[in-house]
Amino acid sequence: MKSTSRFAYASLALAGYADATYLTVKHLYRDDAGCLLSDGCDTVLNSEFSSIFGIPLAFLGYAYYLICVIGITAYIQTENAKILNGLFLVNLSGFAFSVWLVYLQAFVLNAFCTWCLFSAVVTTLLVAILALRKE
Amino acid sequence: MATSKSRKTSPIALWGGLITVLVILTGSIWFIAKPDANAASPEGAGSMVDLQPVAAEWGMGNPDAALRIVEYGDYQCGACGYFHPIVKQVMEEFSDDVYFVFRHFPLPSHQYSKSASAAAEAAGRQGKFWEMHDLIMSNQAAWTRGIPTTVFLQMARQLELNDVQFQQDLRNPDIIAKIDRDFNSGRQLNIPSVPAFFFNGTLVRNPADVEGFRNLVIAELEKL
Repeated sequence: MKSTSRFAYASLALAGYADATYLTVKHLYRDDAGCLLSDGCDTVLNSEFSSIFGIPLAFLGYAYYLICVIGITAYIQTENAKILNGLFLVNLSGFAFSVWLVYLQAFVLNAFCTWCLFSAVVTTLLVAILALRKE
Repeated sequence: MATSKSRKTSPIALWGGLITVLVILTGSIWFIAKPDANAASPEGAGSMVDLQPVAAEWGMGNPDAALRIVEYGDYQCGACGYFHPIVKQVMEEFSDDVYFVFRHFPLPSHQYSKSASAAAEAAGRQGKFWEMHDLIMSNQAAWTRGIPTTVFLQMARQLELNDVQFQQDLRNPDIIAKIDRDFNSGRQLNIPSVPAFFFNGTLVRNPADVEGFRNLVIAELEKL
């Protein structure tokens, strides 16, 4: 993977990590996340879809981006292409899940949470970088 | 791939750098995101405070009940909207054993909270505080997006209130003073975030769901 792609991937993964950390902290304190540019964050984040099997999505997002950050670091160190294949699968599942969450926001909750949409955009870009990578 | 890359980053620098970045990033976000730098909720929880009844407070349930729950809430706060049906459901079950009091804590950062509190109080003057409280809480999305005073007026009509009186009361200095009094009492209690629930004067950690709230009530009732 080219160094620009590595840099882009690492930066995006860190941005996603920051986003997920923010939501995790807000969740831990049971505090309103507030919203940038829209006002649906609290509707979405307090909805029945905000956790799965009792695990808050904020925590899952945190773990997910931590894997991305650690994965890309491991790749930069070892240049082992298998790591990228693994990350691609992780990001692909993350992307599929994001599509579902955006669908829920648009058609079920009728409210958008900018923090969540940001994460969906980041994950889309992460998948795109890995899908278009040249070994 | 990357055959042109001749120099490999030293593992120690790479992983050390990553850990440093993650620690700094997590630490600063935690600092920014936690509700109040001065009064973090876990420390605040469990302290006994004076929450004696005040004149003209809004309560439901049994006024003589041994368990008195006081909520400091903000009508524009999503978490308060989240807890609203939870409180309602629990109060239906424990209406004989619990007295529930709502106090206004309109956060200054929420543009319409105070008008919402005034609308509830104005409805209260015509005997429909809880009816208005329910409408405001369960329609947060509607009035925070529209023109709140118009929506409140529609709600007042829906509740068959005298709307001239209602509109006058929205600006009634006594009502505004009452909301301020509630807010200031909350400030003195160092409320970490809204909603804040006090069980017989003790701030509790907010439960996750209706089951959690029920269990808190049951545990508290067993202690009495």
